Amino acid sequence: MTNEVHRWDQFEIALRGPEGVSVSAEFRLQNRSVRVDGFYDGDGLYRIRFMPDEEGEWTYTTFSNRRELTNQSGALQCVPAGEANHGPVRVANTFHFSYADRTPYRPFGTTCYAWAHQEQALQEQTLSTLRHAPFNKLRMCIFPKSYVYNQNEPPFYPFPRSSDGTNDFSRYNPAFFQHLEWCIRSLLDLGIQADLILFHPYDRWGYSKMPADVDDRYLRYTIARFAAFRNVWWSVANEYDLVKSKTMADWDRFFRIIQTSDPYGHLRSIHHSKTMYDHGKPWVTHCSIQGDDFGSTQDLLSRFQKPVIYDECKYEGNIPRRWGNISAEEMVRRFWLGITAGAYVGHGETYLDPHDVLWWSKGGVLKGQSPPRIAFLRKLLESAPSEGVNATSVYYQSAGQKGKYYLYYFDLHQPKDFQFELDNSASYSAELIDPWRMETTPLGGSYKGKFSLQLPGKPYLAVCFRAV
Amino acid sequence: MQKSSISRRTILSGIAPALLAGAMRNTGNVERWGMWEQTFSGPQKGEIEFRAEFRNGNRLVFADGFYDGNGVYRLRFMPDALGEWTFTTHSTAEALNGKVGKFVCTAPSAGNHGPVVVADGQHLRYADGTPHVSIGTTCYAWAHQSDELEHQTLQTLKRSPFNKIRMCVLPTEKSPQRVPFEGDDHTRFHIPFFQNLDKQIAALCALRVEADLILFHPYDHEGFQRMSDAESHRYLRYMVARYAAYRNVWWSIANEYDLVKKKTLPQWDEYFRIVQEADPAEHLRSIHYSKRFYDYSKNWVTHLSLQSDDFDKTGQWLSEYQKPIIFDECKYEGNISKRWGNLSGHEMARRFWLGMASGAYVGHGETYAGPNGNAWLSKGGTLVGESPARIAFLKKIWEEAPPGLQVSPEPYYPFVYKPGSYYLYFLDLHQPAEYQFKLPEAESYRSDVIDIWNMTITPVTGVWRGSFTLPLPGKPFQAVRLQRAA
Repeated sequence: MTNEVHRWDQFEIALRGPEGVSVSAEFRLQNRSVRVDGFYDGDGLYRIRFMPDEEGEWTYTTFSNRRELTNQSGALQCVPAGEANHGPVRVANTFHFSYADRTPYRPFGTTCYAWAHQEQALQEQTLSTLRHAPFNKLRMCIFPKSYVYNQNEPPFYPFPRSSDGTNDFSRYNPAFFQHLEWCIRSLLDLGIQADLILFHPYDRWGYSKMPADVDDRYLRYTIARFAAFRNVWWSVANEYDLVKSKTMADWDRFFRIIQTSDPYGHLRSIHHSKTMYDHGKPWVTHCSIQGDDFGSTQDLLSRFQKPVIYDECKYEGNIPRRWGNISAEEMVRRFWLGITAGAYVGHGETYLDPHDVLWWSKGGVLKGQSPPRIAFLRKLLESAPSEGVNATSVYYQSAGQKGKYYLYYFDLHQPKDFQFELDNSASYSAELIDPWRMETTPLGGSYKGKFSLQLPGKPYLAVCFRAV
Repeated sequence: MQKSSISRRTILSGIAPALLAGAMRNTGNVERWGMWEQTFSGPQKGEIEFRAEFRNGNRLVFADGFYDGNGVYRLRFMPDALGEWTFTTHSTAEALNGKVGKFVCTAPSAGNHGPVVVADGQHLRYADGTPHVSIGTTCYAWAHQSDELEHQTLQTLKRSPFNKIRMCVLPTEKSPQRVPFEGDDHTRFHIPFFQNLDKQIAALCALRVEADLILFHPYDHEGFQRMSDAESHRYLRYMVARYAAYRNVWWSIANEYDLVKKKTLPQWDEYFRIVQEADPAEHLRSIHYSKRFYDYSKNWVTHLSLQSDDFDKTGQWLSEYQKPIIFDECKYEGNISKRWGNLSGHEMARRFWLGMASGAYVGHGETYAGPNGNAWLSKGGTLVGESPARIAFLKKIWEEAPPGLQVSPEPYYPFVYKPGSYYLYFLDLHQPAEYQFKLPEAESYRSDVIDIWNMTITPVTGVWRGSFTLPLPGKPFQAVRLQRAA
């Protein structure tokens, strides 16, 4: 019996050899060939990790500049994916996402930048929180983070580091990466996409200003290790424009390296502080936005013809910085504003903590009140048409699909009545939705075309129409 | 435009003979910034020009008179300097020409601070230097209603925080109760309409409410938009002749000027120039738009009258235009179906704080659906919303603040301040549990946390200085006031 691997799971080849050589493999399915880099995992061990994306018998041959690692061959049998394995997430219907098996995927992300660099008990707690939270994507940094509320040393460093703080960029610390694999796999088990941030400016160890050749090697190594995890997304940077040592040409090159090295084409984007990266560049799969200018969503969507995720639109919390102290009501409102503009929105939480454990960075527990409301919205959106909802009106924002579905959000407006104009191709049922109380009230009757509805005259309400 | 038949040259050369020839009327005393008024009998028909020059020492000021029906011509003047004033009339009608007289301008009575003027390129104050914290509301058609309803509006204003009202001169409703012209003839004024307007502007003045008179608007059922240039100019001059002597008058050339499709930008510019030229008192002048910003840098514009809720642009606009900014329309408290008229009371109050803390002024309006339509916004009557009480609370805080507060161009949280003595921050939707303030080291400060909705002012124990972290409630919609400790 050959090696049996579920579609979109991992197949791994382990080979013995000395540190410092290159190794890769070519996987073949009939006439199709996929080239996968291997990586050194310490203790004289090399691994080549592969995620087969089609069922059937794959064969492989290894390549190396060392005799003992090259020209090894074998085969694997890719069998149907197991339950709850829908493959990696892709762009679908221009502005939306689905898993590779076409199951719709609606990103409802949260942010725990440095959760992977905390004590083990805290990481376990983060995972246990995520198990009960509404989030199916997590933004997380590969490198440890140095910033306000983030003064602790990480348990592992990515490169060997001497006591005087000198990094040996010629080698990797396998324990660091093995640990990250455990993190990514733990998220996979929870059905959560790991939006891996490859570079960031919050640094006191030197990882934000490595030489260019080290950056490039680091990217290839990271891809060789993590690309075979189906829940991986590449976020080239967080606040790329605050990484002062790098130029736009560097960021473009990083995208191209990722695009070239990643055999599976995982989603790629980059997050900014002030200056938005040109998401029109061909290697960007979706727009990862820091901003709360939801009114410009239509402009972004039509300009770039890519999905828009407001990954950072400020966080629920109470810290002094204005990016981290919006109320739960405001956080929920922003999710509704983004969704009904045809985009997606990310969550974060920054409540002051005596031990500086703030969810946005270290994980731990969620203290805020927005997550249940985000769960409510996610459930609602998952009952919407499978192709996703696009903006259908802007006077009051609504998103939907003509003939099927409309979701209106009245934001801070409190009309006592409103004349809706739906299409005439279907009759619709109507529900009044209170996003904060998480209440849905059927309005009775059947509606089409132009009609008026009495409304409660209170702010922050929504109305959902579904084709009967 | 019809060229005036009385040139300035005629006026100047006519002074001495007139003084010699006519009987000098002694018209008694008038207080500074009060209204001086004289009536004259003249012809009941015809295109009569009638104006006067007023002299105070070496200073000459010109004011137009106007026809008030039944052969009565009125001359109104608001003296702005103490002492003796003389006047001489000039007219194309013999009966109105060469009338001379004098009066004495005396000290203003209590509560009379004069007209509102621009101060420091950013603020407003009364002519006597008293700060004017402009807190406006909007009742477009209130002065075209029944006596009873107009009375009710005044009663409401009396108990409200508002000290400015935006109001249209020309009716906005279909078949209004009061009409400004005789039928469709836009050259013949319907005098009782203006006599009622006189009364109501005086009533507003008694309540210390500024009348922001909107001269044109696009909400037209009576053909006002079709007035010819000549008719429009005549109407403007009549308005200035009639109302410039009311110290509480402001000129708003139009509401949503860009929706008046029959008029072009050069015409609006010309209206400004006519008003500026005719108005001896130089009342404030602006114009309100729908989509297209008027160029407020034009020199006849005294302040920005905005339809906008882009409060974070205030700093930029202040430095660009160097003129006071009034967000006259930032949407209204109410529940009608239009998004411009269905803010919650909370949101309306929040917008006042956002605007004021950014260094601007803000206007209110109320549009609750009811049997009378958008009652307050158009007809006046009573207020039912929740924002006026909060606006009153805000107004009191600003009136107790030192005058001439400055703004920071790009603040982290918006605040207004007087260096070394007073700082007022609005934290808006942010809910920090603490915040590090950085004030000058030289003074110490006491601090208050202000809940803008619950209208509480809670002192924070302690005295603060330099860079310090203040504990805060961790709730949204709070303000923080830091005042130099005595």
